[in-house]
Amino acid sequence: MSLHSYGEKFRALIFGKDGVAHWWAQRLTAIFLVPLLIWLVANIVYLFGADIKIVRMWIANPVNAALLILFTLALFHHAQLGLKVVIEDYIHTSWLKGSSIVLVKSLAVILGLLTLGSILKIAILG
Amino acid sequence: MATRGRPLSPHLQVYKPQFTSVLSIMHRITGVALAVGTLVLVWWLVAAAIGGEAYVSIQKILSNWFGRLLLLGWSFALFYHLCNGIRHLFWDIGKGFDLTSAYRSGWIAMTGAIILTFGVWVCAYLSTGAL
Repeated sequence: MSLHSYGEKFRALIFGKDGVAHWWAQRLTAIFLVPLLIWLVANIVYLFGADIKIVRMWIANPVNAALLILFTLALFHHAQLGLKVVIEDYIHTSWLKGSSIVLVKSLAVILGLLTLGSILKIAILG
Repeated sequence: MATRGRPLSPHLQVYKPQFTSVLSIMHRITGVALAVGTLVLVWWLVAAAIGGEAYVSIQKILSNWFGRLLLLGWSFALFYHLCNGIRHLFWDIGKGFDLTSAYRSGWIAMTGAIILTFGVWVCAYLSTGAL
């Protein structure tokens, strides 16, 4: 791929108005998040104030770990899609808009990986 | 393209607030607040993975009055965004667009969020045996 088309791809990723795919991704992650959130909130209520041993045992349960991983992926994808729209609506200076979107997308990836790493560490090493 | 200071939507300052428009902007505000809140969720999980002092310190922060206030705010933001998000999903399949339905579903989302927030905190304190 030429340098020019890399630039084009990057522009499309940041400023891209791929409305249909964005719309669907936002709705699908939302639909996934509804039952996952109900499950998570119910469990956090149960774990509220519990000591670390109980919290780790809960995360280490394979079903909980799998649902947490699913939740993490849906959550950060959904958050990043939503923040992109908010930035596009309120920031009108091109460079600031672009760099804000890059920052939000990078943070979503970093925070998502940190979360996945922590879940896997507890699930595998206890 | 002419870019000299032309008004760009959404310009809230020229718009008279109504119940439905307040609910709409609240969906965005709670969404952004929840995105910020993920930082604490990540911090909590990373601390649980590290263990020891890291977990003790986040527990301490989250159990003082300021931490509890943040959690209370985030729990309301979560339930509001969840209830109003479901309202949005109904609109997406073309249901409930007329004014009466939009107001009614708005009240349901708002009341639902308040009841869920209250209920979840009562249950959380009951589970610790503090109530």
